[in-house]
Amino acid sequence: MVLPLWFIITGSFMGTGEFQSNFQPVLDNTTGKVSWPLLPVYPTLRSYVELLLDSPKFFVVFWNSCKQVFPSLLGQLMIAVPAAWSFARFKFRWKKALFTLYIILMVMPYQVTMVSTYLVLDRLNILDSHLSIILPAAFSTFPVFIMFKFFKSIPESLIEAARIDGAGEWRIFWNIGIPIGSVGILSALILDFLELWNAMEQPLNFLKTKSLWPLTLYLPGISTDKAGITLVASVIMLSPALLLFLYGQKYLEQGIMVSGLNE
Amino acid sequence: MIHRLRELLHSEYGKVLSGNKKVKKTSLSRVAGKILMIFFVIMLLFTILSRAIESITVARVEVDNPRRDILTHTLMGTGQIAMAEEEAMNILPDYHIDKVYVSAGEAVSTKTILYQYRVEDLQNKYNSINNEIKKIHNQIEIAQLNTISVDQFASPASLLSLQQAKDNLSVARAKLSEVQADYEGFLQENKKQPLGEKNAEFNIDLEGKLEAVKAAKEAVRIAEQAVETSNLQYNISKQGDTDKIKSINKSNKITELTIQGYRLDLREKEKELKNVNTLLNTSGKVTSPFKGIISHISLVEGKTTMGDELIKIGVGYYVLKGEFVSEQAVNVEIGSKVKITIAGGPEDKISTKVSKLRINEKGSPELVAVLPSGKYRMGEGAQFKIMTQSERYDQCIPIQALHESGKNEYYVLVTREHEDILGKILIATRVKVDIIGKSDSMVAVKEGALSQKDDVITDSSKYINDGDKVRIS
Repeated sequence: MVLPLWFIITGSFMGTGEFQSNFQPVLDNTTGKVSWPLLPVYPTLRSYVELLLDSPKFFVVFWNSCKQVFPSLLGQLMIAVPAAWSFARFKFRWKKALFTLYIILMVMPYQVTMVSTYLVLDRLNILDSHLSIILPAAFSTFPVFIMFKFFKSIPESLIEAARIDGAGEWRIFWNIGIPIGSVGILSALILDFLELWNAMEQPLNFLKTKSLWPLTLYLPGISTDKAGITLVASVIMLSPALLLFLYGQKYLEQGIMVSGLNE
Repeated sequence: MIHRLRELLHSEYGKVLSGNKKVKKTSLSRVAGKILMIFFVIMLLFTILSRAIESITVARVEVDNPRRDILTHTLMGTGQIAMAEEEAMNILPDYHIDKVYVSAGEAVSTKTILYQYRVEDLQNKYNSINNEIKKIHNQIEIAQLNTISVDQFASPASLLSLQQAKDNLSVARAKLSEVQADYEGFLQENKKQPLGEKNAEFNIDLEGKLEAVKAAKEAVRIAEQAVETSNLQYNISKQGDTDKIKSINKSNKITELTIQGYRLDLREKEKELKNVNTLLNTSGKVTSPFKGIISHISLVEGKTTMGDELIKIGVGYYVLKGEFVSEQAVNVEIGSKVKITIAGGPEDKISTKVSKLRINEKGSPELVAVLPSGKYRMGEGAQFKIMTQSERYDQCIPIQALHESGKNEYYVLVTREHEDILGKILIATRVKVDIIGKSDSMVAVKEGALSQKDDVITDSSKYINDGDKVRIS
């Protein structure tokens, strides 16, 4: 598990010559011995300089990723949180059927819904725009499911107490639901960030203009003679995901713990 | 109420997280959160920095579109001021001289009548040339009538005959198959009958059917012969047509060349007629083209000119004589305007015309321009500049846009839009061009390689090559 990460980080500090001498058979698609030293023999920051200072393209795709991920997460906050609260706390007709539909949609692989999503986006005339990634992600069912479990774990007595004290539904949601469910909300957002940050199929299918592509599509486009840059780009790409994971690790743990609690 | 709810929330939240490690931000989480923030700030800074670096490193170019234009050729050179001592006048041959008004040593101006041709003689000459022109017109017309059009060939008719013969053969073969089938059917039908029962009627029928088969076979043989004959005829007529086309083309080419020759004669005669007409308008009187003193005259009154007669006039005015490179003298001819700058004097002060173009004693091309009245010094140096204009070309580009890739091979760099991860970017793209005209500042290129909308790179802030990213300044 650690080896790929180690390869990426050490490789990003290798010079082109060292990288090519180690990986010549792979790069040339021939047979031969491939070696990977534990640490670079001649460590250099050349690839970092080349990517961070000489490749403005990279920043375009980096910010494209941000433009697609953060509004998607914001959209999920706006849609999934109230939806999950409604499923968890309210009783209404067809609730079970609707929730089952949510579950079905959640477990469906992307490839199954791809065509129908494409047609809808085409009808909405938002294909080949950031919105074509943001909109389906904002209506994702996965965070609803995660948050539902958290909201459901809030004791009914607490809600009742608030009702007796005269709190309205909105107040209960805002002052009780969100603070208590914040761990679940955060864990859902962290999980979704990881998914959206690494998404490949959606941008590949819905974005034709290269200037809208995210990081995930930029990496395979770098030629083999710039493998060092690829590794630096990989380091940069995994950095926010890794840092966010480290930052939100406790929320994920707590979220899992809370989701197991009953009233 | 809010206060109570808050207390309740705190206690419930504590219960929910029972285990009961209190949620406390660990140092790792804090550090990760801070690094995450710093990471995005750093990325923002590098974004700005990389853009700034790119704006410095990408070549800024100036572009121009190919346009319809006239090329202005400039011939520049140096020469010396000299005094023209004598100017000679040529006399047309075969003209009768009626009167000579001047003699050697006499001063003349540009209005002085030098001699007079006989008007009757000029009129006769005019009529004669006119007749010759008419004859040439007729000859051209006859030659044009001799041009053969290639519209009648024998091969289509032969091909039709061949097709007909083939159709006949098909019909004959079908008939043969039919009668053969009939004959075989008849034999098959009568096979089962006992031998004794076969009577005379059967023999007659059998004979009849055999005759029919024979006749059908003969018809097929004749039809096959007809096809062969038609095929032969077709091949002969096809070859004949090919020979005919060759012969017609050859004949037409000869006619075309003949017409071209007639047209050259026609132009000469028309020029001659114009000269004679000019003389007729002045009643045959010829004035001096120069101001000066007659130094030599070999015309004799009452005699017909031979062509070797000469009038020389001592002019005594100043001229500029300057050598030039003939390749640079595009469209320079007698009468072209010349601007002259005397050494140390104001630029392009003197404006005159080329009066002579000749090869000097050193074997170099030389132009002579008569200087207007003024104070000059013999041997004084001067610069001359002649600007001439070419025909109008459809695609002209600035000369600085042109690059040489080999011997007589040229290319230009044009900007082409490319869809890139950064959006639309401009890439310098090499386009091979053929030069059809060139001046000091512009080049005319053959149509096809460039379009009027192409942005041709004329200048750049740094060296650029095919495939380089550029920015229009």
